[in-house]
Amino acid sequence: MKSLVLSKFSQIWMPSLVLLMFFGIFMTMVIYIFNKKRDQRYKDISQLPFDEGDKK
Amino acid sequence: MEKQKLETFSYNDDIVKKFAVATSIWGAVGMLVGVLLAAQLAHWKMNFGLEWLTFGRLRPLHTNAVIFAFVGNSIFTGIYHSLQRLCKTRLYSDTLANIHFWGWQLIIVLAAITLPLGISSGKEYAELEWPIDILITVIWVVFAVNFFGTVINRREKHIYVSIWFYISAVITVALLHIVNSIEIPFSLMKSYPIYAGVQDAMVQWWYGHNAVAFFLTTPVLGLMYYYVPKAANRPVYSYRLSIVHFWSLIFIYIWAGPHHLLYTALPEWAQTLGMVFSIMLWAPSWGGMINGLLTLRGAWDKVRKEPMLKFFVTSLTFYGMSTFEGPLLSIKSINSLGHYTDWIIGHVHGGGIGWNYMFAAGMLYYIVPKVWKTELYSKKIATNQFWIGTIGLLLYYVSMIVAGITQGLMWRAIDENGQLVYPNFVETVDKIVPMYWVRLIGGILVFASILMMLYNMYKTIRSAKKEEQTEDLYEAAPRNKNGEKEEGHRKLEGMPIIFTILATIAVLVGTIIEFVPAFLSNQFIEVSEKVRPYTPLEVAGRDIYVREGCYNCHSQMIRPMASDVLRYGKASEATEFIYDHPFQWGSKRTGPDLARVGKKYPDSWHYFHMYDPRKVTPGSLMPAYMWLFKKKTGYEILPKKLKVLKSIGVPYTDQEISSAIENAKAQAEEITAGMANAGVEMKMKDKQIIALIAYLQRLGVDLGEE
Repeated sequence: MKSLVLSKFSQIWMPSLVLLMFFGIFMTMVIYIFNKKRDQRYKDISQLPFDEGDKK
Repeated sequence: MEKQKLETFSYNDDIVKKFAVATSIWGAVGMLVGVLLAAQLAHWKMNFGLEWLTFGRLRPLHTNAVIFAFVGNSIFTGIYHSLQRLCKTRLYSDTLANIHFWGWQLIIVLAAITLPLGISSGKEYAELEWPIDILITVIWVVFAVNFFGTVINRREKHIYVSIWFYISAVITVALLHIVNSIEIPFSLMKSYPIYAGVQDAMVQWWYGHNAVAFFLTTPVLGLMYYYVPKAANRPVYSYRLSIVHFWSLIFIYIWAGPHHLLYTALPEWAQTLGMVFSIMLWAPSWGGMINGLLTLRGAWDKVRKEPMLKFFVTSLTFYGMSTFEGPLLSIKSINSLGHYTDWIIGHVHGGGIGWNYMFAAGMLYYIVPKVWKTELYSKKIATNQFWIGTIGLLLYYVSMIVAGITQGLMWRAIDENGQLVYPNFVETVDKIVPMYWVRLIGGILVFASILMMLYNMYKTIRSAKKEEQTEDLYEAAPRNKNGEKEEGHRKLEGMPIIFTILATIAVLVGTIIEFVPAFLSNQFIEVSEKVRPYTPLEVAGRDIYVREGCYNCHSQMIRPMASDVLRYGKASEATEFIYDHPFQWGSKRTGPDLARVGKKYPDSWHYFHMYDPRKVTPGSLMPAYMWLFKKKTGYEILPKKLKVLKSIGVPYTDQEISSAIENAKAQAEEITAGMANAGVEMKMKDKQIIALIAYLQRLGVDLGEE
């Protein structure tokens, strides 16, 4: 089965390309998000669940 | 006066209350069915001889009840409660919320009626038939409109991480359900899927796996990011980690479906891809678990006193264990041992009970007192519920892992002469029956624990004061409360539509990459001319096989490994399934594989085996199917069935369709006459057992042992 399919379907470039794209986007995202400049912002955002609005 | 109205709002907690009550009730019902199933596996008589209580029909009810009724209602409870508060606005529409609630309960009731009646599409976790599938789509759209309407109406610019997880679930579940449920009806309640064989398997397990991912996991993670900080009164450990967790999880999860089909006739490269992405899932899954557990830093003393935190901590621990075990089982060499065994059953219950039930219980203990404006009736009952449930879960989990590994090792044991050490399948069943009893005890304890929760909820709700059940008014924030400049991901989080599109793209990439080869499969699967469509009587028999849910205990897929080939015959090939609408490969071998059972035994063997399995196979756990000997085969609908099958690619000629009834009757007569020597009377020829024998005797014979 393995040899039969691989001999007739050799478009492995598709998942390989997507894997590379994923890795590239992932690393960019990690570098961006973990930039120290944004410390305070993320601290503020993480407080959101504790603000349910002001009761009248 | 008008101005004041615009500046105040209230939260719709009425819908939260409704879903909370439904969660508790359906949870108990789903687990009760589970206990009955566990009892049937420990002792076959526990179906009480009733067709609608047999394992094959009830197991889909158990899975559907627990996944869509219990966890589904719990997700909606949490989403409706947290979404309004995170968006600082009331739900977009109270009417849509009520339609969603009653529509969802109607779907559950319809499932509870149709599945025991054997009205099933034969695809795991997607067994509901076409009219209910349409209803699910409509109700999900109602939910989605209300959800996105609320997000768009929000008075808080930032979309908190929980809502991202909800967005991915709303979009992906719709996609999964619609794509997997494309089917052509041939009667008011029955249909055939447009996919067949390998394609159907690929689509089904893309759905099945991602139902776990985007129904049982992603929305619950969203809830975790809201309720764990609330319960611990501490912000999430790392908001940054939650961003990385979200994007990598939704991107990777969708690829992992083929790990359910390792060593099958699915293309080898797709299997490997599924395995690789499953292993990659370790990282985001554990990132999420660590983020949840570390949120409790400095608050671990509260876990001792607060039952809901006990539930959350155990839930996150089991999330970590399940998401470690899942990728482990996706490694091909481990999968070859664990697949089709009770190890997988232990794994899914570790996730289902450990992660989902424990989380739902913790969340309800937070929400119920809050929305009813009262105190929890008894922390002691909640704590006892926790310990009884946890002990039950451990008994269940450990017994199933022991049973699975024991049976897996027995199946593959080969002696020095190259022969199976345990050639008789039932020998391997006998060995694990004691573990089935342990599992039953564990299941009863888990069921008892949810009954305790039900009682605790009931008493809590009863203690609420009626005069306090009014909606509190809140001051509405201005629509654009701050004019601060946003950039990057922060800016993206203020744009729900763009955010949703990007999340959809992340999910679609893996889907497309895996679907393209599956849908091009006709170009690389050599179709053998020896493989012929089923005869009309075999079609009728196949539908009985699907109705009785035989796939819940029997696979139809011989893996290319020595032990499988020695036990069942030549490994299955993709070409053998090209006319299978739906595919019936199964995922569990409580009984032996049936891919090549055709002509292995005489017709009379099947006849007596179905009437009383223990007469033919002492020690068998299979229920007796007496009703097949009383009910008549539905001949009249056969031309319609063949016509529908022809429309989706099965090459029946017009002549075959028009003479379907005569051909079926002739084949039934031939089979019955052939069993005369065994004492089978000719009057049995129109009974369903004959059609089922016709189908079973056809399995795997086209290619034979060539």
